Amino acid sequence: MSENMLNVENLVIHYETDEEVVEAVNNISFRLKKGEVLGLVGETGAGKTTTALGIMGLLPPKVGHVIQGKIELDGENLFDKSEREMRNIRGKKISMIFQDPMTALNPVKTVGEQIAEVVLLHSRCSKVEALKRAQDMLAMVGIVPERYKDYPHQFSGGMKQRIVIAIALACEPELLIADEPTTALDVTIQAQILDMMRSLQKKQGTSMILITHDLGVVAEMCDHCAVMYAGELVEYGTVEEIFDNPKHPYTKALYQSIPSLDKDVDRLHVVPGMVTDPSNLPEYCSFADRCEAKCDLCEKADPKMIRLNEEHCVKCLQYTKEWEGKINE
Amino acid sequence: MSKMRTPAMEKIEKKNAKRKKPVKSTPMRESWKRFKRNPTALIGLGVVCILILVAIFAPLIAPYDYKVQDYSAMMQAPSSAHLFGTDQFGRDIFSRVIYGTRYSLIIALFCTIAALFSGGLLGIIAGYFGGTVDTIIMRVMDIFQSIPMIMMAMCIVAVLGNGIPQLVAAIMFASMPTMARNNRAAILRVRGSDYIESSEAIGVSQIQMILKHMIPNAAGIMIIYFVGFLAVSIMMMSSMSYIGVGLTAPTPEWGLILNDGKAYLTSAPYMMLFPALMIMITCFAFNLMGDGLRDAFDPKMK
Amino acid sequence: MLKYIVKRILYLIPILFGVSIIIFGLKTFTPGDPARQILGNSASEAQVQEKREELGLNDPVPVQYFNYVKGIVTEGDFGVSYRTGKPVLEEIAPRLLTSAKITLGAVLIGAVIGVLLGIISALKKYTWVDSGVLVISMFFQSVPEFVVALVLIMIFAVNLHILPANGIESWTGYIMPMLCIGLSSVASYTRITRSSMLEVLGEDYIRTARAKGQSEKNITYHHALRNAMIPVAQSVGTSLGNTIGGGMVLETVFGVPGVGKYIVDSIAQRNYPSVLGGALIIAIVLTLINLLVDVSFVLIDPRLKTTIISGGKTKKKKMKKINAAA
Repeated sequence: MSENMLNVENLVIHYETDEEVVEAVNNISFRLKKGEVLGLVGETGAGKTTTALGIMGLLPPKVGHVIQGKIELDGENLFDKSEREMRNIRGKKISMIFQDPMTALNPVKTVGEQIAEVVLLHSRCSKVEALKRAQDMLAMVGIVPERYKDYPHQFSGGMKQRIVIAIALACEPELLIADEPTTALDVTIQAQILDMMRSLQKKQGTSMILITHDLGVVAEMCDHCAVMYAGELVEYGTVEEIFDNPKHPYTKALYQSIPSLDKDVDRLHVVPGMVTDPSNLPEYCSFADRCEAKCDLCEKADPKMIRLNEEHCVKCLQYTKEWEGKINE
Repeated sequence: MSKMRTPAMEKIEKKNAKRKKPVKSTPMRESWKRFKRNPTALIGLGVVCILILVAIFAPLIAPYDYKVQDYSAMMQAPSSAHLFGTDQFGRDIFSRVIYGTRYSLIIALFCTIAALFSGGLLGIIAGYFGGTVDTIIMRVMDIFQSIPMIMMAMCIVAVLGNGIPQLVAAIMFASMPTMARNNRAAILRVRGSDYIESSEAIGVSQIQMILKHMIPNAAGIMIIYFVGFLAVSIMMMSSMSYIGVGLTAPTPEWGLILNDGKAYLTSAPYMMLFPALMIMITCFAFNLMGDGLRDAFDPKMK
Repeated sequence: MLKYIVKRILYLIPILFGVSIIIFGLKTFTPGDPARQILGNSASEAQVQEKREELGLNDPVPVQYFNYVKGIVTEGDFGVSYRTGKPVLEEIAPRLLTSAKITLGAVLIGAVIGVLLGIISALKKYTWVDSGVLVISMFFQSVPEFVVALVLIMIFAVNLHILPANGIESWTGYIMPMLCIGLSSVASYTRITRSSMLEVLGEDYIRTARAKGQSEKNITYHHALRNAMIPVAQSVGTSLGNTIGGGMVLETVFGVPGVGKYIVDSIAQRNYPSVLGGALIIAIVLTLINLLVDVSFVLIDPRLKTTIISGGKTKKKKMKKINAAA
């Protein structure tokens, strides 16, 4: 099963308003195989959610624009699809779990109705069958099926997220995008939810993109990891490669900013400077202004993605011939 | 600078190049900027300015005295001598409407100031002190509010009798609950904000807090109520005098002029047309302006 | 639920007491001698004194108030009209029905048009349709109802002769009064619907519905509308006072024999028991309707049901939250 199920190529997404243009996603490419889990890591505003919305075709209308690139699902470019065709894909082939379960459910509909809704939309079945399926899904995510008649406000945050997951998985999608699914939850609940997602994903054979800023979650859940900075992929590889052998200065800095019990340090490492303003990106490497390993070259050229080995790519001038030439001088 | 040029960026850069140096932005300036961008609000403001000028220079604009009766020129249709025609007593309707601007605006202004002051004070006290004071004031306002505003005003006029001061008092009392409620909400919104809590934490005194933080921050909202209520009081006043409650002849208030023409609706509709138009234009202009102010001062409310 | 309703009804009592105090206060301060007014100028001083005694006007004010309230509570006695000598309640009762019909019609017209326009302008936000709808609905809000009424009379009664300018002899008489009052409330419904729709359409659960592959049409009608209607429904209650107030003026303009015209006529005739009795009756009706509106909310918003059952106090907070969101 090595075929690429999802193929994102040279994707560029801008948000255009009367005041400014925000370059949210800049030329990113990645592939996802069937059954694989990809972790998408980065700070707030790095373009992770925009990438996800781009795949879903749910960019905010009029403001969000796909400037170039393609997204292929099973070899078909999603940007060629009509809105109607996209609606058939959403919820059936690609599902998404949003960050905040507290607001993701409609307060005036029962949870059963809300799960049944997606089933009714994508499979030919009666309302009764859909509700039956909703109850099965509730059981699957660990909620008593009889509670299908309850309203969202009667559930706790963790329970709500389980319901959101039930909605997302009800049609057994090929791809599940989870946008920081545990950020809004208590730490104790986070692990439960993640465990459950992992086992359901294995069971259904779903591919998954897990968006997070928590490297611990990536280590636990993912096969591959992609690090985003200012709308670009700066490093991509298997989780083992990225964790054992991080190459990009930003990835390294991210690791150093995690508190460690092994080492005794007085202060946590801080990535210097502010997050680069996505409405005013430099023409050279976006991270150069905050980079601790930069040289003059970094402010002249924007590096390309460099393949280090089969499983590892990085977007940094350090690993190019020019750099070596510079060092040898 | 950017990673990838798009036409949208060029457009914005062109626009920015045209723009003059950026000025320091204050909340007031920001509001004014938003107000200026709103064409309907500007139209409203323009009309209101014209109306104010008409009210000030009424004696210069009006060709006749508004109360002089001319029995040689009764019930004349609009002509060059009498732009809006004359009424059953031969009074020039154009002059009456022009003077009516003066009366309507001044009475409305008094009503608004009185209502804003009395209701506002109650609302600020309730909102600022909270607790029992708040409960008592608001419960009393609840009671007042269960009588429709215009009915309350009419009952008060019925008791006090007709006349301008009585009318002002009636409208003031009738609108007090709404005013108090609005102002209380404004104060509560400011009071609940973090900067008030933080200045409380560093020990700013109560008086200072009210004067320096609450009133300036609630001022925008109060300006909105002020302009909005001008329109409301003109509406109430003209409605009341049209059905014969509040003001008496020969005051050239628009509602009263309409009341005078009521009997001739079929034979001389022009007698009612012009004052009716004036009421429409004035109320609409105040509302357009008030709406623009609301969007400008409080973009979140839209 | 029942507990909540009982609680709300108990809460009505102090409000109605307050209203009666205000009204009675107005009555006490009213100039002129009611006894003289009833009997006319030809009556002798002795006759007037006798009448004063009969009406209880020589008692101290608190006693008068007590008797007034006692009369209302025990016999439904809101006073006696000076003009006809009949009890106020008897005169008002049939008029109340007329006024109720007109008010109900007006609220329906206003709410239906307003909600539709609000939805349209929310879906077409920031286009010329949106601004056009807002400006037109605001025009009808800012122009006094009686002016709109006059224009309608000029068009439909004077020029076209298709609707009567006066009275309600047939159902056609109801059309113009209802329309005028209804149109004036369109703007507030439009505005509330629009902002609440926009708010709701920006909610996360709408995005969830989109992610399910639901069509925009279904999202608007099945997901957004019901949530957006909560503040709209609430505003029906609060705007009812204005609707009734507007109705008073318009009943006079159109010569409709309703409570409003009764009160206005009584003011002109200085017939105070009728004015104040009418005001008190309207206040009672208004408070009762507001209670009904509040109770019917619970049926729209399931969140309230649980909070009310678990304890009435949190309800206010929830409502505030919903209001703030609107």
